[in-house]
Amino acid sequence: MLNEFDIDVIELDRWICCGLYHGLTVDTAYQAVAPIRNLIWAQTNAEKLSIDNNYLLTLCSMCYNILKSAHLRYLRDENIVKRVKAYLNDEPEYKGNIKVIHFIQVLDEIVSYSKIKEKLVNNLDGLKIAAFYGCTLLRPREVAIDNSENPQVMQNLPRILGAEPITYPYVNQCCLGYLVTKRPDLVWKRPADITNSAVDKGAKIFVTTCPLCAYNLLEGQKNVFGDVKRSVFYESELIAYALGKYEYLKNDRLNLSENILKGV
Amino acid sequence: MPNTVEPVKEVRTGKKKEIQGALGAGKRMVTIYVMGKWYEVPAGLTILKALEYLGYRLVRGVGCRAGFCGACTTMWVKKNDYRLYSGLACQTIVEDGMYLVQIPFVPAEKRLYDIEELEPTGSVVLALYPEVARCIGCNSCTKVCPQEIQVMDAIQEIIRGNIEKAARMVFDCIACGSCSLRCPAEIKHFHVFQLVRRLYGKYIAPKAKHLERRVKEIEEGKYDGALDRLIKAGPDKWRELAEKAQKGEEVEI
Repeated sequence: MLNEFDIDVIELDRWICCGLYHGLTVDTAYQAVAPIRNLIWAQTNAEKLSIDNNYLLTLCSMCYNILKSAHLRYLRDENIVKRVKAYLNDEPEYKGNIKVIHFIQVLDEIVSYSKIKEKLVNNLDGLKIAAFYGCTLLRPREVAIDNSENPQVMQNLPRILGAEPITYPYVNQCCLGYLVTKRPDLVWKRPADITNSAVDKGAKIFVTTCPLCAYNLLEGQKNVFGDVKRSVFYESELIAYALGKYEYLKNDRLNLSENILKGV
Repeated sequence: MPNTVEPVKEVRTGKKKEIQGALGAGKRMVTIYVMGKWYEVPAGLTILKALEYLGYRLVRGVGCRAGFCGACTTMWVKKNDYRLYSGLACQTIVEDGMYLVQIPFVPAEKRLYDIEELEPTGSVVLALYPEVARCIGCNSCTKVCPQEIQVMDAIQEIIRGNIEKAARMVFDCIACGSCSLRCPAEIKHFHVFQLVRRLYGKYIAPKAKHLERRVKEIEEGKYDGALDRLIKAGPDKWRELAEKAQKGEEVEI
């Protein structure tokens, strides 16, 4: 999608899982090994291609959180640097200047909204949407892409596309994340509550950026209600549809978009 | 070969260790430890040859002696070095102070599957080997691989579902198992990689058209007559035909 706004996105030569495995543990150094390795590979790639802005773009909120957190800890904590370096003695040194940036931030901070509006093909005229941030774009505060208590960035873009974001209390609620792998029975009530609140406020769809939030929201609805009351869209899908760039949507997603978003 | 030559007389002159005799007069000796025991062996031998030089008769943990079969996995540490090194005994030259242990066999369970019933996807591999998803990106596997495969990258490609890319990356795997011994996620890479290559070969690689044609010809009986005549001809005729063929002459039956 970003190519539409003259932003070149390059896939790294090498990348591994962001390092989520340890990201949520309390242990200190080891959790930074995988993310810092990714940052080092990004650094190598940037040097090879002489890219000087050093942006590392993530589409997933969790990847953003893990990579950015590790980057900040590496800059702040000498002890982490020492220990991570000892593990990463097969890699060049991380210089600490990779800028981890989320897709939403690119649209918000680099692409101007007027530029997006110029390309609008399918106005989402008055479509009520429930933005759902989950945790990883907003917490902890040091990596938050917006105000943690009253975030707006994810509503701003749909507004440009003609949609009407609703205000509801669960916007920055936790979806209960990976607890779903261990105790789904504890998880399902949360997405159901979130959905009920969104429905009460008139929302027709959810919009999120996090695959895990999307999964829990959908599966939670199926488990509690027996069907999906409100479909979950990624912000990138919403913009692809609104800009008429159907080639960026998989067939089933395009059908869903046409069924739900058309004629509103 | 070291283990077949006559016993050699060792001469020690101060710090410089030298050897006299058939094996290599004047050669420098190095000190190695084999499962805790101290030995001196001529420098320049491979670990495998050094072991045989010392009189060990290897019945496990040895195979092709050419760096291909992956049977002679060996691990060692060096003095004043925290690293645990790994390599093939037949390809690694002994170094002074090596503390060696032979790995006769890397224990690993190969999951049962019917290749005909699988699909070439990452989830199929993960269903058979769920531990693949436990990769924490430590890169210990890549560090020890004697074939210089990017082992961790290949595992990550599998997690992403890129079977073809993974299969190409691990083509050189000789199943020595060093990576699996080091893996904190307890992945048994060589079994996983074998599955990935099989999936690639069966479902992704382009089919060899000429092979299909030849199989069809055989099934249609194109060569049945010639084969029958050949079987009936008997050993003397076979010898005569083979000699002709070796000279590059046309052979008819």
